[in-house]
Amino acid sequence: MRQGTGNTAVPSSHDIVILTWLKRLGAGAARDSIQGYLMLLPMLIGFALFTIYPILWLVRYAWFDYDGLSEAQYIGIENFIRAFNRDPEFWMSLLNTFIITFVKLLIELPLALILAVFLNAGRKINSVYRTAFFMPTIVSTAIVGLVFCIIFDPYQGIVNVLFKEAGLMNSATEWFSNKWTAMLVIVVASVWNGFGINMVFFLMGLQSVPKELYECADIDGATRGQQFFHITIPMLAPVMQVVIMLAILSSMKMADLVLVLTNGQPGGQTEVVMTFIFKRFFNFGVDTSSQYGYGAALAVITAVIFGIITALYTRITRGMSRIH
Amino acid sequence: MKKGSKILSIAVSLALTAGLMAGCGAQKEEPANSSTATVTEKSTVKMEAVRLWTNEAPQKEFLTAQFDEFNNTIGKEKGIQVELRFFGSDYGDAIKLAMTAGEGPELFKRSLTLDQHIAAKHIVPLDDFPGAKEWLKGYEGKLQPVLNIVDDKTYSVPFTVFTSKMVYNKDLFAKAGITEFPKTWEGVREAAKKITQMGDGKEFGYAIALKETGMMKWEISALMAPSVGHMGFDFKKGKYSYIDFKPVLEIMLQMQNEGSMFPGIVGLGNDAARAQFAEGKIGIKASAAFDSSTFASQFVPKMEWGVANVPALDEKNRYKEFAQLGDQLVMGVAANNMPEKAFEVFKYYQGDAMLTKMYEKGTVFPYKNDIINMAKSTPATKNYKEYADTSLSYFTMQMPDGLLKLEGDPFNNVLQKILSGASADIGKELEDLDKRYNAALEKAKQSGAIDMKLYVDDKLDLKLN
Repeated sequence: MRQGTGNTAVPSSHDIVILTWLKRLGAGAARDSIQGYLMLLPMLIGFALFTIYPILWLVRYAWFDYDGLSEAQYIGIENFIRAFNRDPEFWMSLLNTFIITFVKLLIELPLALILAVFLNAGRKINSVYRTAFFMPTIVSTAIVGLVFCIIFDPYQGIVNVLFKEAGLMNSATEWFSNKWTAMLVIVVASVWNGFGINMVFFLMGLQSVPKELYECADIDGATRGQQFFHITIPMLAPVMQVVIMLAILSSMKMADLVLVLTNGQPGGQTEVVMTFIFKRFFNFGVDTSSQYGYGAALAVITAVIFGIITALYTRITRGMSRIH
Repeated sequence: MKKGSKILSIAVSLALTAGLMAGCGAQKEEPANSSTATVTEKSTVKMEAVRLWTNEAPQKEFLTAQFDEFNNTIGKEKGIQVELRFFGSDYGDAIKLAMTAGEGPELFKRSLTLDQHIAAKHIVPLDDFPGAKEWLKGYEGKLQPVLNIVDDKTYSVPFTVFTSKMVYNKDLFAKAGITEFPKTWEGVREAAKKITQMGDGKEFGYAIALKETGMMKWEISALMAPSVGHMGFDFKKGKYSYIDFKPVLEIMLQMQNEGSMFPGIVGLGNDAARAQFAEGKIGIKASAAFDSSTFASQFVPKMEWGVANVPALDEKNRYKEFAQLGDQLVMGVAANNMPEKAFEVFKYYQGDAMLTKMYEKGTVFPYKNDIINMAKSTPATKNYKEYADTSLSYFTMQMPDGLLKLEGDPFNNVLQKILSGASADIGKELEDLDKRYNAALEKAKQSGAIDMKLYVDDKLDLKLN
């Protein structure tokens, strides 16, 4: 822009052209923004109604004594005091959640990764296996629960029959009568239901690893094992970071499988945190009044704990996303 | 073209938004008998829709036919169009939501206790409806506090009766050389042991459906009444006394230790337990009156089976057996907008004629014997008479559980824990249960949420002998 005479700046014709072009661009950008926002509107309204509003509702009622019928009464931090001081079952359910999540991930992720590596080659038979291994993921969790109930049924379940036939067992093992065997069944059912989707995530990650790296490694004389640990694993790190986080969150939020499979039995010992909160909210076959306020407080506490875990995980693993 | 596509995309996004908002509105199901709604009414009577909601889905066909008839006769004459809606397991939530939104029906089957419905302003008393006082005279002496009457106002009337019995496999009894059903729990334990010994690992003496929280009332609590004179709440003392269950629970655990219990009761749901009984694999099982229709159609026993009274701990000190009168409909607040018409529908549903038809079909156990006398035929359902027998029963009052804000596990979970063998000390577990329930009761008393006058009867005598 050229400096004009006096105190005012007089734009040249070239400047005017540029300004007009920028204005048009601005107007176009504004129009595009409006269009963009309109496109987002259905999702934003849904998000506000079905995600933000329930969260705010929950946070509000955590401070109330509310049964869903009579008028809610503000009771300050009483619900939180009760949760921290007088409800050991809640903390046991949280501990159960962590145990199940830890054992499940310990089995599920290596299994998914190993299968993904084996099925990564472009052989036709591999697509059959990929489909077969992915199938359990699309089965409804309630059905998975029922199926595993039948499989581990002490009376005529296939597991007991096989163990008896193999001479490994004399009398029927009551899988659901003991906390640890019942939790084992939950883990097995959950791994079966979830490894397929993680295998697909890993496959996607593997397919984005440049083949040249393996060719170079071959030339340098690296073994398959060395290639796996020094190329595949590091290159998969960003995918792994996301997959592990998703797997941790989905395992910690497990509810339906436990409700169908054990319903918290024996005697509430396999209750996980989500089923515990669910039962405080909705009674679930119990005659005493609903405790929406207390259930909301438990949900808030759980959300904070899960939030801290997620933040810690993201912080600890931030190096993983920078590898490639 | 470009402009056109932009307009199109904006239109699509607006349409999606509108669609989403429309989806947020209450989506009304077509009423079950909506076909009748199209009937052209030529008379001068003003037609009004009276909504009736229930979770009696198994009776959908029967009730729909009955109300089609009503709509075409009495309804036409009096300007009433009954709109029936049947719900499944989400019934309780549907009622709560509809009532909160001010869209509740004029009449509905009770989904909570009367106290809870009243506190939530869901229902109105029957007394104020035109002609109700006269009509209610027919129920004199049959209405119960809490269950039908609250604060001297009548909200519902008895309709059915629920009994709690035992079912047993007559073939397995014969195989084990047992001639009659035992009268004591010790006798049940011995019978279960014999049946299991003869069963060769395929048939077992006793089964409890321990998986389902809601079944604990029927599988355990109701069975305690003949032994201890209550089902957890002692109406004579006005307090909870689960500790009294201990001796019977110990016998049940003993059956488990002796291997007489069906394998895997911890994971056994009620349907699975009834199915195994029908297959002839279980000798003895608790069974509520509602099982009668299940054994008639869903799980039909393949052997000879019988229904017996619940055993007691001590035959010489036996208490009466549990039975509970059940009501059906209550009047929603919306009924005040059309009191005459709503009450007409109420009378039609609750009346003797409807109950008699239901009895003839074998779908309900009527609350009074007159119905059985009025019926043109007796139900063909096997063991129906034994299920209906209330000669050794008392009609229990409503327990105050619904008004309690309990801390910790409810009785259902504690009983599940004890019977799954996960509890080291039964006595301690039951004492803690009593302590928590009585503390919640005390709290409810202090807050005014509960009127103990309705829950204490020091003259109550349930002893049989």
